[in-house]
Amino acid sequence: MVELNPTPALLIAVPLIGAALGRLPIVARARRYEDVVALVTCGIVTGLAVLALPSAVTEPSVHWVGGWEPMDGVAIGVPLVMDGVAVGIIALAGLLTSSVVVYAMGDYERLSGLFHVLTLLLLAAVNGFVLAGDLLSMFVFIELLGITTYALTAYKVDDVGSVPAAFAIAVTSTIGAVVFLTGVTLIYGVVGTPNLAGASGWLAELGVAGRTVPSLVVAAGLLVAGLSAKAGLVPLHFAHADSHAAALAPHAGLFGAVTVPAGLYGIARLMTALVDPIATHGRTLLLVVAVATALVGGAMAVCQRHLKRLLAFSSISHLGIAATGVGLASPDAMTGTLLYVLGHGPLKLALFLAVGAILHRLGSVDVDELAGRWRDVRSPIVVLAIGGVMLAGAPPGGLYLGKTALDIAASEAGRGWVMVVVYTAAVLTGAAVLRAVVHLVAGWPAGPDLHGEIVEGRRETTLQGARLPLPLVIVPSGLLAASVALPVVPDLIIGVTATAQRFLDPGAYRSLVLDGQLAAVAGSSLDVFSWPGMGKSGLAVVAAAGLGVAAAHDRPATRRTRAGTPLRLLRQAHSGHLGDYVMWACVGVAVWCGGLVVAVAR
Amino acid sequence: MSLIDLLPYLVVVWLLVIGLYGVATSHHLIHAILSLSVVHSAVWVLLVAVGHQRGATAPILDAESEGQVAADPVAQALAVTDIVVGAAVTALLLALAVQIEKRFETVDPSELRLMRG
Repeated sequence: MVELNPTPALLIAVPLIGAALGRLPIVARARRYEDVVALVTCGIVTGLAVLALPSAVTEPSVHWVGGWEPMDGVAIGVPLVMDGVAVGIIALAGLLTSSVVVYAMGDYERLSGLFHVLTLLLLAAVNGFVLAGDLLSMFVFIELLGITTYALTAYKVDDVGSVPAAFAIAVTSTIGAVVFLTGVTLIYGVVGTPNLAGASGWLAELGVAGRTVPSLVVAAGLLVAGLSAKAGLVPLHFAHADSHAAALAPHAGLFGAVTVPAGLYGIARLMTALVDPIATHGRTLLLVVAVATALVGGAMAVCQRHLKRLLAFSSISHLGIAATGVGLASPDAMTGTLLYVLGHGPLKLALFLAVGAILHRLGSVDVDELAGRWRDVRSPIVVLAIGGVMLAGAPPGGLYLGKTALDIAASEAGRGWVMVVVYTAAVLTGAAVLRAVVHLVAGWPAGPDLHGEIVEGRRETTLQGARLPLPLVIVPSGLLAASVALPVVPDLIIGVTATAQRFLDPGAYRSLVLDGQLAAVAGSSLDVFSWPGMGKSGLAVVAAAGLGVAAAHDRPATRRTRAGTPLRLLRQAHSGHLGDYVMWACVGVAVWCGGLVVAVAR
Repeated sequence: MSLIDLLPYLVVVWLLVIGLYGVATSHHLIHAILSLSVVHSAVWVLLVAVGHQRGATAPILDAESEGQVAADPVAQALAVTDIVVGAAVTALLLALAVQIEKRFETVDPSELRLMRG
């Protein structure tokens, strides 16, 4: 008698059904029909995930699709693994998607239900990807996620910059998916099973025997390089910046909050399955790449005048910070990454929704055109200001918790230099947003932009009124409050540390999936509200505010020297040309594969 | 391993390299999409090569094929899955290319550098 738990299947099937129901022609005339269907669907998903979360953290379970349980410890079916990380990400995604649906009730362009169909498909794809327990299912769901992303980027078909940006992200992201699949095939060729737990068991045996198969090293490099195209790590981040700037503001927020961290989740999951010596070198390489991503994203964000592209680079930078936690690979570091993603998601979506409200009311997202027009958009400006401070890491938000946990982990590992970069990147991203706020409030002009040109900005809502619609005010404020109040969640630190401990233990994962047995794991508490941590974050906030004001004051005519040749070169590297993006993607894949091969061969 | 044994893998590497080169240096969006298809086909060849054994036949298992060595059906199933995914992505990319041509009256990526810096 096989007991089948329907929850994992429902978490994937309900959004798919909701997406299909969203465009029934019979009831298409009914007002708000699509909103109701989408809201009910997201509500069911969020409710199921939140209810399943406590048991998923303490007692993760595996659901074998179709009842194909493993025979003699060999997996023959498709597993859906409900552990704390997966259900946590699903709960976050469900909550954020519900917020987007509520927000879009404020007169967003619906295209007769297409908005809701694509948004729910995004949710279904993310749910499937984090629940998947074998490499083939991961590939299918990450491709579904990708296709939905390309379609959402091209949503504003009439806008000038949207369709080329969608083309660019489609090409580079598909190259990433193909590279990922090549890695999957090579691993499948060596170990003979696509099941993640099974493959990890075989790799552990090979590791114990002291053999390093060359194709496995290349396969590991390809897998991580392919997923880093989805996660937007340097140098595969170029198209992501364009894509987030071109999509509708709520969808750009979902990309930064859910889609891009899903790629990072894939990298983290795969790294737990690899063994030494590939694992250590892989993590070190990931650390270097993550640090570069954080700095590049932060530096580009400060230079942007286009609000959505500014936030896009900020998303990339914060993903780099979260990726340093995966690279440091201790339970405290993984706790930091999880807390960071939990805190960053609502915050980034709140910022994007505030920008969407500004676009609705004032018709532009260019800081120069918006200078001084704060009176019409008071509520979004408050959200942006507080959000900018939170991006810099002010306590008590989720970003502060994550950074402090990363700090503890980095000092334990003897890698304090990582935290210098992390704090710098946070200061840069906070300063970028605060600079925009200063322009809007103080009215200082931004001057001509000599190194870039962003062609985008058509209105996303159907009506412009004298007042902001209620959803456009309430939803960003609510999400911001959720991100600030994250420490209030009961047993948060204990739950996240237990989840992180279990996530990093490949033996526990194998015994859960293949034998159905739970290893006991205890959570610990972290001293996150210590004076040194709060002092450092306070300094970061002050630095961000100062840098933001200085950057707002800075104008080409008053500059004695250009803001540094490195910055100019960096901005020129973001050329907007598809061929350049593909070349950078090839460089990225070569760095990952070549770097791992060289490191392991030494 | 003889050259014949290595041949599929050499073909895979060649397809990957030439496809990526085609996408990177393309002057026509349709050419870029077709080069992306070439990159995709490299993975299909790799999947079939990984699933194959010497003297193996097609993995259709019925009473007559008892005791015969068959190629790996999972690898071939994944190849078919990826063909479907590739078809979906190609269709979407072609639709985007048609929209670009309508809006900008060009399909040259060099003239579409709209988000710079």
